[in-house]
Amino acid sequence: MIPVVILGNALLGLLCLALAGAGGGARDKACRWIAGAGIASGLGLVIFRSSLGAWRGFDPGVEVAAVAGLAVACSWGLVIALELGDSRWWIGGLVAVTSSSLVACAASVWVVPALLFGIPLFAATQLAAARTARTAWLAFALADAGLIAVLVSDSVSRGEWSAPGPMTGWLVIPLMVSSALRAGALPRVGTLGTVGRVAAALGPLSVGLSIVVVLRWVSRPQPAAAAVAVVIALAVVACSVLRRKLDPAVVGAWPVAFGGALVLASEAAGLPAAAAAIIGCTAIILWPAALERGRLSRGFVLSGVAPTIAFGAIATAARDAFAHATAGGLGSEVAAWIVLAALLPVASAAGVALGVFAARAERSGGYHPEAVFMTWVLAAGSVAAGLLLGADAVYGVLGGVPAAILFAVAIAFGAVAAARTDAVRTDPEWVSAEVLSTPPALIGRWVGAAPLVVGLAAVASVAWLTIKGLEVGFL
Amino acid sequence: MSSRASVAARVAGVIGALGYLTGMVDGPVLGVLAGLALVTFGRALVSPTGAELIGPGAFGVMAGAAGAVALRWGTLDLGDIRGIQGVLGPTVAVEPQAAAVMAAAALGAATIALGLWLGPAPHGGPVRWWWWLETSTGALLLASLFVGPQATDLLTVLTWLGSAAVIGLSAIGIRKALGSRSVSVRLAVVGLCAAVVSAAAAVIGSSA
Repeated sequence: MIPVVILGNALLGLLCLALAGAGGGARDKACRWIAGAGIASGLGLVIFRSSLGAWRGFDPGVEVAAVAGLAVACSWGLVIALELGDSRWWIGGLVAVTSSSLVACAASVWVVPALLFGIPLFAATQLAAARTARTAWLAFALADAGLIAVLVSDSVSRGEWSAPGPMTGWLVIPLMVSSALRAGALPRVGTLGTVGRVAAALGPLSVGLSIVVVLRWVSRPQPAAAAVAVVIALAVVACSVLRRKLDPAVVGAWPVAFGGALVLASEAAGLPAAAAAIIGCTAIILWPAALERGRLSRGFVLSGVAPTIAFGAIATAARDAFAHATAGGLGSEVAAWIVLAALLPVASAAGVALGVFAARAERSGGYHPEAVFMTWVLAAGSVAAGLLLGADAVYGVLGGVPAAILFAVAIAFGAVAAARTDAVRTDPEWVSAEVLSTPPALIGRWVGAAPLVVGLAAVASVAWLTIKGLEVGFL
Repeated sequence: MSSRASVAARVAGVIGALGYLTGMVDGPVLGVLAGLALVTFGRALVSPTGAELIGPGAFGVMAGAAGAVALRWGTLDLGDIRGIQGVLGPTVAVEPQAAAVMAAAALGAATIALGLWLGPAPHGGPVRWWWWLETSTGALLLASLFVGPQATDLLTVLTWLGSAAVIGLSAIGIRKALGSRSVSVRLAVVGLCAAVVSAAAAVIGSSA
C-alpha cells in the first residue's frame, strides 16, 4: 500500500501536469477524476493502516499512516470542491507532489530520506503560497527551516542516521513552534493565511505534516504546551464570538490549536484529535466557498459535540488529564495537568458556542455546490471517523460498545423526531454573527527574499547532511 | 432546517444522557456531559439572538461542577461517584468542612446555571414535554453528583429522585426569577456561577 500511495500520487501529479495544454472544460473534468483517485489513495491508507508493514526504508506507524492518509484524502477533496478555476490542474499537481512527499517523509525510518522527501513537500506548499499569500509563504518557510534545523542538528548530535524517536529537551520547542506556524494554530498564520485562495487546497496536508511531526518526534504528553494551545484556542473563540464576527482565517485556529493541544495532552487521544483537527481545518477552508449553505454541518463539525471524533478526543484527553491531576505530588507538571483538566470543560462549552455561531452565521456570500456537499461529507465523516478509526476513538472512553449502541439509538430517535417535526424557516433576525473575509496583510515583494534565503539555507543544510551520509557510505 | 436539527440534537442528547444517569450504560460522567452538550447545541440553534451564549456558558458551569465532584472523589466514573456517596454520604455533607461547604456552593451555582440553561418554557406541543424531560435530566445529573446514592433499594431511589426534584424545582424557580432579566445580567450571573465553581474546584482539589 505504501508504494502504491507514494508512486500513485506521483503519477497523479504527472497526469495533472500533462493536462496543462488541454482545453478548459475537459481539463477540469479530468482533474476531478484524478482527484477522485487521490481521495481513494488517502482513504486506502487510512483503512489499511494496521496492515501496511514496512517497505524498504518506509515504515509508518498506525497513527502516522492514518493521519497522512486523511490529510491526503481531504486535500484531494478540496481540489474537487474549491473554486479553483483555471488553477485546478497545477494545484492538483502540487497536491499530488505534496501527498506523495508527505507519506514518504512521514514513513521514512532514516533521517536523510525523510529530509530529501520533505524538500518537494516544502517547495510545493511554498510555491502555492508564494503565488497567492506572501505572509503564509513566509510562515511556511520559517516552519520548514525550523523542522530541517531540528532534524539535522539532532542527527549530528546523535551521530546516527536513523530518524529520531520522540525528542525531549530544548529541541522540542522549535519543533512545536514550527508545527504551529505551518498548521495555523495562530490566526492568519501558515495554512490560515491561505484561506480563500487556491493555495488553501494544500492546507490539510500542511496540518497533517505538523501533526505527524508531533506524533513522531515530540515526546508526549506535554501538559504545559497543551494548556497554552488550549488558551490560544479559547482566546480565538472568545474574540470571535463576543465580537459576533467570524473570520475563517481567524476561527480556523480553533480546530488546529485545540486539536494540537489534545494531541499533545494525551497519547491515546492522538489519532482522534489529529483527525478532528484535519477535518475541522478542511471545513474552515471550504467556508468562503460555502457561505450560504452548509452552515449547520460546519457548525456541527466545529462544535465538537458527541458523537463527532472531536468529542472522543476531548473525552480521552480529559480522562488522562484528570488521572494525572489527581495522581498527587507537587510541581509544575502537576500544576499544568490541573490547569489543563480545568480548561477542557471550558473548551468543550466554547466549542458548542462557536458551533452555534457558525451555524447561525450570516448566509449571504459564496455558494459553490461542491464545497457545500463536501462540508456535509466532512460532518458525516467526523461521525464516521469514530467508527473508521476504531470504536475506542470515540466510545472507548465513554463506556465502550454499550456507549456506542446507546448513542446509535439516541441518534436514531433524534432522526425520527426531526423527520416528524415541521421545518420552520429560520428567522433572518436570528443571524448571530457576520462572516468576515479580511484580505491578507499587504506586504511588499521584498518579503519574498526572506523565504528564499531561509529556504536556500535549509536546502543547503540537507545537502550537507546528505553528502556526509554519502561519505560514510550510508547512502 | 435549524428547527429540525435542533429537535434531533435535543432528542439524541437527552436519550444519551439518560442512558448513563439511569445506569443502562456504565461509564464516566463525560457520557452525560456528551448528551447535555448535544442538547445545548440543539437549544442554542433556535434561541433568540443575543441569548445564544447563555446555554453554552451554563453548560460549561455544569461541566465544571461535575469536574469538581470528580476531583473530590478521585474518579470520573458516575457509578463510582454515586457508590461512594452511598457509603460516605452526600458530597455536600462529607468532611473536610471546607470541601463540603465549597461543594454546596458549587451545587448552588450549578443549580442557578441549570435554571439559566433551561430558558423559557415553550407553550404547548410535544416540545413542552421535552423541555420537562431536559429539566429532569439536568436535575438528575446534579443530584447524582452532589447527593444521590447508587440506587440499590427503594429508599436510595427515593433519595435520588427526591433530591433531583428539589434541584429541578429550584432551577425552575431561578429561571422564573432571572428569565425576564436582560441578556447581559444573565450572562453576568453565568460568569459569577463559573467563578464559584472554579473556586470550589480549587478548594476541593487542594483538600483532596
